[in-house]
Amino acid sequence: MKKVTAVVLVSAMAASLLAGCGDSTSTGAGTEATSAAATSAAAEATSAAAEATSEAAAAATTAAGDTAEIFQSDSAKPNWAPYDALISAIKSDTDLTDREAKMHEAEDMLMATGAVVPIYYYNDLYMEKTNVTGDYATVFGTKYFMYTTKTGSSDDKKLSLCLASEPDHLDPALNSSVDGACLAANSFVGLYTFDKDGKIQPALADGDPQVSDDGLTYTVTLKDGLKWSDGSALTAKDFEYSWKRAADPNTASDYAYLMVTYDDNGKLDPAASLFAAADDGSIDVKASDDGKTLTWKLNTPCPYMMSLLAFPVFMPVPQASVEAASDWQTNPGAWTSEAGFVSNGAYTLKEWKHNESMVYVKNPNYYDAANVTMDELDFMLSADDTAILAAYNAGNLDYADTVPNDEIASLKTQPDFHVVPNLGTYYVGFNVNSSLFDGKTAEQAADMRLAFSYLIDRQTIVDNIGQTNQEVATSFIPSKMSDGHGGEFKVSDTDYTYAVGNGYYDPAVNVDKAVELLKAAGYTFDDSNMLSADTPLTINYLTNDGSGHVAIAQEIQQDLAQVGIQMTIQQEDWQTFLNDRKQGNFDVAREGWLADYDDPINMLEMFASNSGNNDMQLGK
Amino acid sequence: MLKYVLKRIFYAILTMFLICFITFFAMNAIPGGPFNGEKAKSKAVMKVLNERYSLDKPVLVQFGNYMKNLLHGDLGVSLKNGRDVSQTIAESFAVSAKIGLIAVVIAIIFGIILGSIAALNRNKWPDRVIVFFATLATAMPSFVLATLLLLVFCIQLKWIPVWSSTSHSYILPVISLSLYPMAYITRLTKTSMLDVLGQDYIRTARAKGVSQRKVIFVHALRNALIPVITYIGPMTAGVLTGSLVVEKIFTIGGLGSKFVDCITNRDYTMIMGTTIFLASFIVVVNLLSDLVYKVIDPRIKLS
Repeated sequence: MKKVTAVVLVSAMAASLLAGCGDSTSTGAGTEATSAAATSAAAEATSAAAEATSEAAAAATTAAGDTAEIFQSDSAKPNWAPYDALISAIKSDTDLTDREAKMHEAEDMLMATGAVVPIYYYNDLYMEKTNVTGDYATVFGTKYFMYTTKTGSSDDKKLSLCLASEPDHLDPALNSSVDGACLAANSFVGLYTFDKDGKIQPALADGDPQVSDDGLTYTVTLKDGLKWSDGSALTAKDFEYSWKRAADPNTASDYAYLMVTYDDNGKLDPAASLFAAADDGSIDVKASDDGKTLTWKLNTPCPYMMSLLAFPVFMPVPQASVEAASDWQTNPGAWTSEAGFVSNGAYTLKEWKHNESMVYVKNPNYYDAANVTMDELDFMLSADDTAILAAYNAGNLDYADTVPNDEIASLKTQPDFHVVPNLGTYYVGFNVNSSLFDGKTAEQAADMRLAFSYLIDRQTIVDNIGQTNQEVATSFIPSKMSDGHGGEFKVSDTDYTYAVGNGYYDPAVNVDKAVELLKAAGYTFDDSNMLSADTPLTINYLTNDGSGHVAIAQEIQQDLAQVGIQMTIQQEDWQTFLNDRKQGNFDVAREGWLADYDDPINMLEMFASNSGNNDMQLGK
Repeated sequence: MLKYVLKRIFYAILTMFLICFITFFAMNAIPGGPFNGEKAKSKAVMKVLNERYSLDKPVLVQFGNYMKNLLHGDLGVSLKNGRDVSQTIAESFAVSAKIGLIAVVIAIIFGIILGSIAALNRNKWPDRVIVFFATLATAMPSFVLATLLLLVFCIQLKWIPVWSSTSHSYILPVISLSLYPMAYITRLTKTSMLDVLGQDYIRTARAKGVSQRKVIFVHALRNALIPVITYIGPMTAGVLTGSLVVEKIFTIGGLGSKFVDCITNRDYTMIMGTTIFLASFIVVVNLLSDLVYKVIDPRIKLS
């Protein structure tokens, strides 16, 4: 009767086999296309190609940076050493204006490869009953509920909400999800926090940090009388412990990368780490003997330091509780695996029915408890968006963070439907090592990818699939991201001018331009701009099986068909997808990145050769 | 009898070992791993995690270690959230079993009663009404039924909250879980009862002047229940271990969704834990239902 496990295992194996087949067929088709292109079109294409390429390259580099050197490659792969060098230079640059210029240059290189095809900038929708006000969200998707007020209800002091299903970790150092960050932000608090206008304000810190002239040493004085939820004193020593613990590889915190990078020998790598190393091999952070002040040293000045200080991984955890769990050394999150743990934020977790509900109650020892207006937060733990919407419509929830995609169109006109901006980009990425590009020059390969970008109807994707008025993307770095010295990165100014307006291209579909680029890459077309049968092009698009992602793939498939490019869509389950994308088993894959902090380097460094997030295989 | 039970237990252990072996190697063969995510973990963190959970060793060695721990009753901790696997299974099984047991009892009682009524009123209106609804309930997938119940009782009538942190109602999930087995038992009982009622010994009993009630309850029903028991065993195992669909729709922290979620997450220790739990549960329930046959019909020979 119940063989679900066995069936799923078997079908997963079958799927992986099928996925394997899909790979080999697509590779075959790719090779075929390339060799056909190489033979029949070679002669006529060469001269035309050279001409058109230089033109295209010229168009791509009207932006300030010089991107020519990435095409100095004897294969289809871009020469990625200049990009890596640039990322290192950005990380150690102390002149913030020059740093911004370098980041523009890096984005120029990235966009010139065509490997990254931005689609739209993320935003975030949620439903909230009209009698609830006062909660707010940051551009990173973190939501704060402590200052919420609710009127006209019998339980005005209790807010019922649904963010997501069961969280993996409630320990702020171990959290790696957006919903987990929301829970952390409401039950823990660090030195600084975000206010309702998205500005960073002192929380446990008493005023702004004192920064040394070289920008490397920070000193923060803590407020007086800070307490953990159990009433014990909270001092700078708790921060010292917590930061060192988060940075320790044995804690296995995903977000430790914000603090440190370890080399292959497990030593702190000073060239790649934000924090300087202390004598004991850990990060250099020290509490004063009286526990009033916290001092830390950086390797390089950090324009986004304040944004980090409000991030969960920088929140304190109580050492006594952490180490009270019997297996804390091998299971660092064990202390938060049940309700009742000590925290220092606006709420403490009183009750946790796993996979059903969590009840958070107000923490009287919170530093700002006097201003906390909501006494209790009840979380529904569900990822079933139909059930969540049902609970919301039935009046059992005041707040729902997700709705079924099919319902957005009918809900978006309601007054309780809200959309807030996020800092992040939904994009499509090419594997630069794909066999699609065999036999091409680096410029031709880039032209093929740029042509793809010109064919995509981004506005239709946003209107019909995204549906929440997302901003169409014309660059990889999203709009509203800061430039590191008080301005917005994505605006043309006296120092830097984008190719078209405030972006790299006009987002309208441009078939002629695409055809011109593909001709330069050696493809032939008939009079009606259809790809000739002599030079076929078949692209394999990899996506996980979420309905929105598949719908976007299908839209792109139609967009490419208008010039005769065939696109096959390969749908995989989440883990198989992640694996294949990481390994580069695809031609094109759907991608997305929500920024961790407000600085372009967060989005640029992922394409460095040694980055674990470099799915596009640049420099590999 | 004892010899038979011992033999069955021996086979059960062998079955369990094979299940462990196959599952362990199959799950390691699926692409992906427990520590993959949208944002990549750093090399240092991956190294620590792989060493901590011995994922850097050959699969055969990992299997050996796992079996050794298993013999000590240690199922390990979930690779996804660090929670103890046996504790998670125990907690979520308690939830599933509570709902499932009520559903099973309802299904059996009402199934047998309705089936008997249908058989005794063959081709009359009670039979037709019961068969109509039984067919409908067997044909309706649980997600349709559960969604329908949610729509009517939670959203239209507002009698029951969809979700509540304080008074989470289990009425609708019980109905969703019991309807299909109830309908199935009704049909089984009816068919089997009709078969029995046509037997010679029933005619004999009636000829002897045995009362209608006694004919049905003592002579007919007892024999008619044998095929029903064959079904009840595995059905109970299935319902008690929870249903993915019903748990997702009614936000229940049961075991059913764990079976699927752990595979999606490549949470190796949870995959092994849930598989071993389910397999042993089914093995035990099958053994029990074989023994119950013997009680109901002493002519059945075990072995």
